[in-house]
Amino acid sequence: MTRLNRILVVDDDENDLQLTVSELERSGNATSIDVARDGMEALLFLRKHAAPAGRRPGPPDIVLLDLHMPCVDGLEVLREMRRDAALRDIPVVVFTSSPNEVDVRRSYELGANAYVVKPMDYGRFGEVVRQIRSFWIEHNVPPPVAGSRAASLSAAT
Amino acid sequence: MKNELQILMLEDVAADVVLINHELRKAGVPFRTRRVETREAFLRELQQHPPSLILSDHGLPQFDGFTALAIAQRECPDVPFIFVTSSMGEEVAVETLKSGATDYVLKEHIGNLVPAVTRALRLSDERRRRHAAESALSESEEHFRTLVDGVRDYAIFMLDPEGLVTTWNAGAEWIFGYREAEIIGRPLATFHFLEVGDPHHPELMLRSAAGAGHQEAEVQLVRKSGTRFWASTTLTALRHPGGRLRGFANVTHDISERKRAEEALRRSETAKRVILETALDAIIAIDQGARVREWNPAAERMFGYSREQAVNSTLDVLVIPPPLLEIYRDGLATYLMTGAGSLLGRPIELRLRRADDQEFWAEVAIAREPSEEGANYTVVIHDIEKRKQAEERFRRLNEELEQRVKDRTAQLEAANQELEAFSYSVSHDLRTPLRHVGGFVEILEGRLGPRLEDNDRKLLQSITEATRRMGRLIDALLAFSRLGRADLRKTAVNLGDLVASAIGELKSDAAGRRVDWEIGPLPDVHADPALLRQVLLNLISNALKYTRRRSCTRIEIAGQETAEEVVCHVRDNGVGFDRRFAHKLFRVFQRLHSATDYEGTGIGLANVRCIIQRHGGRVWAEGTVNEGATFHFSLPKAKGTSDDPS
Repeated sequence: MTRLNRILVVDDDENDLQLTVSELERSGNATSIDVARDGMEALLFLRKHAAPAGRRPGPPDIVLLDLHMPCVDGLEVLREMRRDAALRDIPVVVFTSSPNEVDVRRSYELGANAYVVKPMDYGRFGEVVRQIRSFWIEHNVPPPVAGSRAASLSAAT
Repeated sequence: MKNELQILMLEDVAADVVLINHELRKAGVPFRTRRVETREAFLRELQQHPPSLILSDHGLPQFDGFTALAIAQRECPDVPFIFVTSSMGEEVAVETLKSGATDYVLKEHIGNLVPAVTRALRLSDERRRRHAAESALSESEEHFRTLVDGVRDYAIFMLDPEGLVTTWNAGAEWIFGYREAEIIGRPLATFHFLEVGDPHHPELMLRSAAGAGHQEAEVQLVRKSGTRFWASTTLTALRHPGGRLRGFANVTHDISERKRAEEALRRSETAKRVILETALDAIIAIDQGARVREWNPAAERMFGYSREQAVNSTLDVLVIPPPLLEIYRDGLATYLMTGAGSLLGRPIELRLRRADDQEFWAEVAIAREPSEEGANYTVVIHDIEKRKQAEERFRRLNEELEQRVKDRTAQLEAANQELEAFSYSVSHDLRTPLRHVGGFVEILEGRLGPRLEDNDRKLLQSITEATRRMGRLIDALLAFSRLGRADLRKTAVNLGDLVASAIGELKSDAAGRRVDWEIGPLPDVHADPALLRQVLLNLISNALKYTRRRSCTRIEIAGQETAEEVVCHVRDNGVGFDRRFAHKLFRVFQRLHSATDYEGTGIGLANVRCIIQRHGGRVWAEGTVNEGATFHFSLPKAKGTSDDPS
């Protein structure tokens, strides 16, 4: 059984969200994409899916996290995730328009796994999204976690 | 017998001898008579038994009275010689007296004998005493002359009544420089140069000496060499026993040294007085017990106590504010005990008190002068209240200034932060929609794909191109806004190397074109190399851009050095510009050529101006339509720029 790869995209900008999701959908089949439109929604989703329960799947394999969002911003989401034992190991790729050095430093300090600035040109934007997916979904081995994913991995072998 | 009158009698008549003896005996005078009759006997008696009286007859058989008189006057001039004779005419009598006889007595009047003898003896006695006195005087004068002659420090000389020099001692020669032979007979005025009428003129000196007997003066005299000197001179009138003026004694002493010392002292005193009177600082002398001895006018003004009030008061009571008295006295006691302390030799700053109890800051210096009673101290006090106030004002102003600088810096930092936020906002918020437009156009293209007509496809491409162009404008604007805030890192820059490097970077822009580069002399400059490189890149790329349509491109780059600055220019033979719009060239987004003909953001020259102005320089341009353009910029020499000189 092919494992269904799951991505959570967090972005308050509807257009960026739509373009990102569109690019992700175009570039791979076995991918389930969830979206959150601000930090609060993202945290609620993550906690809800911290562990698989019944038919509900576990946490996503990767979180694409925008930084500058109203109310709970990306950095707060990151901080909360790293404090939460159930969410601590989920890879987070910061995906933002900000080239600001302060943002970069804070993100890594809080435990971001990568920091990618959204390219201005859409052509390159699409390419970057595809590469992120390619690396984190197809090449990266995520840390083992308790729950269905671990079970499904052992079942696969 | 000692008091016995020894009488030598020249008499040939025995009866007369008896008579005479009888007469003398009657007078009760003890006497002894020796009688002679001859010349030989007379002479022998004179020598062997010197008589105290000679009585002589006039005519003798073997001798005569006049001859005897002559002999007696030769042998013993002081012995009285009385003729006792029986016959003597008036003329003979006068003759005897003229010849030197003491007296004569006629035998007929023998009663006159004793009075005559008595008178003669008295006269003789007087004469003998006078002789003794004269001889003593003469001896004393001799001693005195020797003494006078030997004196060297005093000019001692005699003058006659007319004031002419009659004697001259060694001291006079030493002092005046004249030898005795030169000066004897010259007037007192020889040593004077004073005008008639001066109270010390020699004529007046002599006259008043003659009048008062004595005249003393300190006068300036003149030596033979012509040099003047101060002398103390005493003139004493000398008179004959009868009172007639005999002359003057002059004693002169050279007192130049004393006068010089006096003059030096006087000058020093005057100078001291002037210093005390005119000093702007209070100068106060105190004794060991801090009692005021001197209090100058400046002290009067400074403290408000008059000299009379201050002198003999105790200085600390007068000028030290009561709360500081203890400290002051401790300090003074320490000094007096150890001989060393903080007060001496270097000025200190103290609070002092005026008569009206007002306190003020003063600078005090104390000098110690050892004296017989221990030591005296000179205290110099400088009122520095105004300076202190000025310092305080200065300090407050400085604090205010620092506060203002802090405030301003904080404001600037806040403004910078705002600008930073603005820049971020521009980059984030303006560029994001552009990406969306581009993204959605691409999605649309993908979805419509083959259904799209060529015209529609071109429209979509135009939309994409427009968004890209706007993205570049936004980037350029952001870069420009950062330029104004970037730190300047100035250093010595080789302009030639920088130009060569910029040309190298732009070579690709000129690919396939013929470009004549004319690089003139380029002096070294003091600038931020990265920013200056940006300036050159902008100017040279402009030059290449606007000469694009020339068959032969010529670009000249050169610089000149003046005392204050280096001026460089980049000249091309391109399309040039309308000089009426030259002032617009350096403004952001201002273009004199269409973006269609000559692509660009309209930021390049604004960047150039911004960078050059931040270096303290100027930029300007010259051009004519179709005849090329020249862009100049100047950079000040190393010193005198306000920016960081690193």
